[in-house]
Amino acid sequence: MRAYLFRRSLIGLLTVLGVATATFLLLRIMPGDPAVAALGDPGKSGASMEQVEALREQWGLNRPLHVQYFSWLWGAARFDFGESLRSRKPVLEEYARKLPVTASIVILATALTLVVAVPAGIVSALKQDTALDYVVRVISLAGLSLPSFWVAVLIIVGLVRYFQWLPPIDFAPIWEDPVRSFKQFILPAFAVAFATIGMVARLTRSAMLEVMREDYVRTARAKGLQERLITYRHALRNAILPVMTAMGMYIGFGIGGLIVVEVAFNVNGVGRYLIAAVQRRDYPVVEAVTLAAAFFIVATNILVDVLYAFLDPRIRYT
Amino acid sequence: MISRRRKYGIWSALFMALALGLALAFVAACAGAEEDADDVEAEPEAEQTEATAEPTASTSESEFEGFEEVEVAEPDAVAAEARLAPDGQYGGILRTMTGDDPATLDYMKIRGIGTVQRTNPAGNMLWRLHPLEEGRVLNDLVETWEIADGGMEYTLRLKEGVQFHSGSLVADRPGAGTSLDCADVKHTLEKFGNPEWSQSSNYVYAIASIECPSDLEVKLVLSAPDSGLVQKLSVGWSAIIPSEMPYEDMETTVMGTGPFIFKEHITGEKAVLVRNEAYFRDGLPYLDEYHNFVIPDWDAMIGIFRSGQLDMTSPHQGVGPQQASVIKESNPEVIVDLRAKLWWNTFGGPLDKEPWSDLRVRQAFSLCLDRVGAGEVYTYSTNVPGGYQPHWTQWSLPSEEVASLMTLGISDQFGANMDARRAKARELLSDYGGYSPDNPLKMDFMGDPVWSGFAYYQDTMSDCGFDFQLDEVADFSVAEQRRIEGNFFLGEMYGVTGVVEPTLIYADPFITGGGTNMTGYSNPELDELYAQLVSEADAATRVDITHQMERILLTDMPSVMIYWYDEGMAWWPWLKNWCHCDAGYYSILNMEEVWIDMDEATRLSRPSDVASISQ
Repeated sequence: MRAYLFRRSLIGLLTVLGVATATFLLLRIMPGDPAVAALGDPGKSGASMEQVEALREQWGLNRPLHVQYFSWLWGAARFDFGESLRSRKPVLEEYARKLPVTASIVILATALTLVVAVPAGIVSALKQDTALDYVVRVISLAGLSLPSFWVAVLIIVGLVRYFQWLPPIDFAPIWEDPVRSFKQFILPAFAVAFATIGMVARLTRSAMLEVMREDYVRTARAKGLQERLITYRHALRNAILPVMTAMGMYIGFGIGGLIVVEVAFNVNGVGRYLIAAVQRRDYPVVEAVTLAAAFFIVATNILVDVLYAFLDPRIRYT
Repeated sequence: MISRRRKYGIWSALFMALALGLALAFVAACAGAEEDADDVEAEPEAEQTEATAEPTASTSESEFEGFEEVEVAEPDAVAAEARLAPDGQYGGILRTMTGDDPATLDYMKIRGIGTVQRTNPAGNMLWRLHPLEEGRVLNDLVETWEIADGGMEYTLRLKEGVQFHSGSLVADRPGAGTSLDCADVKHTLEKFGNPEWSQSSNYVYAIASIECPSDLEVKLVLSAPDSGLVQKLSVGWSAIIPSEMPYEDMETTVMGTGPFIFKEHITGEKAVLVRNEAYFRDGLPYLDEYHNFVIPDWDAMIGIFRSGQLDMTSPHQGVGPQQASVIKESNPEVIVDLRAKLWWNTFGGPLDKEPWSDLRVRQAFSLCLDRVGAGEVYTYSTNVPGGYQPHWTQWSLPSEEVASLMTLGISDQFGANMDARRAKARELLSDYGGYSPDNPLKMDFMGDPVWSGFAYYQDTMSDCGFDFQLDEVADFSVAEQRRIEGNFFLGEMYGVTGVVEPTLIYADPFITGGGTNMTGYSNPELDELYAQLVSEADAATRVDITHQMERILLTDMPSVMIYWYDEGMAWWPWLKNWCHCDAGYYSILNMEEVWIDMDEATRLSRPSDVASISQ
């Protein structure tokens, strides 16, 4: 297990490094750069090339690419991601302020998905072709069909128009004020989770249906085991494995969906921070946020792999 | 027995019906808002009257306790009156917003809304503007003052015992806890008058030297009399800083003597200012804290305001007739005021770059611009086309003359004779470079990619032979920076006029070397008249000089005036002593007399978790 974890961590590290390198290069290949974003395109704005070059020099963008890259990488290894070109504040400091906001939404969205989607999928499978099954399937389909931003807009319009209420806009960490934090993040979390709930519920249902038709389940029934035990001890433990894999992936997708949801709910999280940074070509911020996102997605996937071993005794990592 | 496929079909149909119902409810909700907007469109005047009816009452002498006795009282006495007037508990957090992060915290260097609204509560000026009477000033940090030598010498006596902010929040900031003295005023005014460090250097160009006869005495020696000097030193971006503070520190640090201590600005989130317990006006401010949020999406802002999480929208902006009717329909108790006339909009470009450098292009632009049409499209005709001086004052030329100058004599009304004007515009563009609607003059137009105005102007002005290409700038502060540095060809320019003093309106955008002279306009004749206007004390003569300057500007058109922008704001009735006053814009922003009526807030269900009572 330790050897496996070490190997997976090493591969994960290489993956993160690859993402970071790709982001670094893509940012510099893309048209426009921070100096042009700040001063305007010399062809269009009338800013002189000298002004643009001076700013590039000041921000270290005129250095050879490999020098910039290794300098950034060395900084990142020491958790020094430089200063935002816009605010002139350390990126890490700003990111640390926004991470709990986004993490709160991701955690709540994941919890919502687990609490709602897995039981819904199980019930749907056990009650196949009943009214309950159809309701779950149709709602799941709706979740998959409606983009997060649209769900967010529906929630906001409905709440403001009919209840004159919106979640609090002032960030309250969960460890300081759990109730307020819950009120602030539950709706953005729901907007993000709605699609994931749909997908996971459908996946759980199909996995459960498949497992319930397996020989060992029939054998268990023949032995006279209680249906509850058959479902939870034998069927679910097997059916949940692909669901866990999917959850790991959807958390990553959820982070992508968060960007628009944060804008819609005026939540000052990592997503809004990233959007603003991309608009301003704020390289240090984009690079740091992408690196962190890659890290969290890789870490989540390793965690899912580890969970496999606990959920399925047949799986042994060597 | 119903087949599985059929069952699924039935359930799908039911769900579709449910989804359709939800969609219809959503459309109905949106249509409600549209209907409201239609109502406004049909009867803009009626709506505006209704919207303005309440604030008049709310800012009346009886409710605006802070300045109840302002006719006879000095500011300290006024403050004392205000201190006694509110009945009940004070405290709480005032929550307002601005659409963007500040580009810098140096309010002298960039005077954008994002900076001024977040730093003003931390400062005091030498004088402050009377919130209810245009042009009248009150003492702020000045105790007494006198003018000698025919207006060439001002001697100011500063208030004693005024301290710069102190305590743990500001322990590492230069000048923390020091007492206000002449050196601070000298240090501030030297920055204020230095174009390298200030957008407003022309305000104090008449000051030849600043002397300190004693700690609390300041002597300003002028090179020429300046009848508007006191008004110009009453604006929010002239707040006094400690002499210990290096100028470059103002980019990231705020230090002053004001009612609130600047605690922090969190990028993308909010600025937080907390009560200055040692404020020199005893008992003020009433509020515990002042939070100014960053809310880039104005529709989201209206929603958040309606939910009660903002006590006010951005001061003096953010609410037009459409938003006003949406707010009033769902929250009739909210005070909505559309009567502010502070903002003006122009189009312009650097005069040292083709094609804006050519007068014929600027004239063609002005002729082709349908100011009335643009007002109808954007603001239900609540904007008022006019000249560079505020159209409701004596300083402005008559409307007919302004329209005539803007249209080269073709029309004396802003929206009339558009066909003839466009024909003349085509003629001018053809003369300039053979341009026509078939062979248009391409111009890069700096603007936000989501700004609907671009499409409107691109479409309506193509008839004259203009072809605008969008030079995208999504970030307001970047656009502002580019305007300042002249890195653009054509763009929208706007300003806010919190003080109706003609020299103050001309000083920055049109006088040679002015801090916001983004077109780079320089006209010796105008500069000379400006110098005369500054020194002239006779009111009638000043009006005459101002009119001469208006004629020059409307002929030269360094930037083409569009209209004065009638934008408004909204606030909840639990917010007391707030004055939506054009006249005192820069003084009222320091929020020292504003308080929150907790009983009213409870009655109107202000979200409990945004309120706090400290005493």
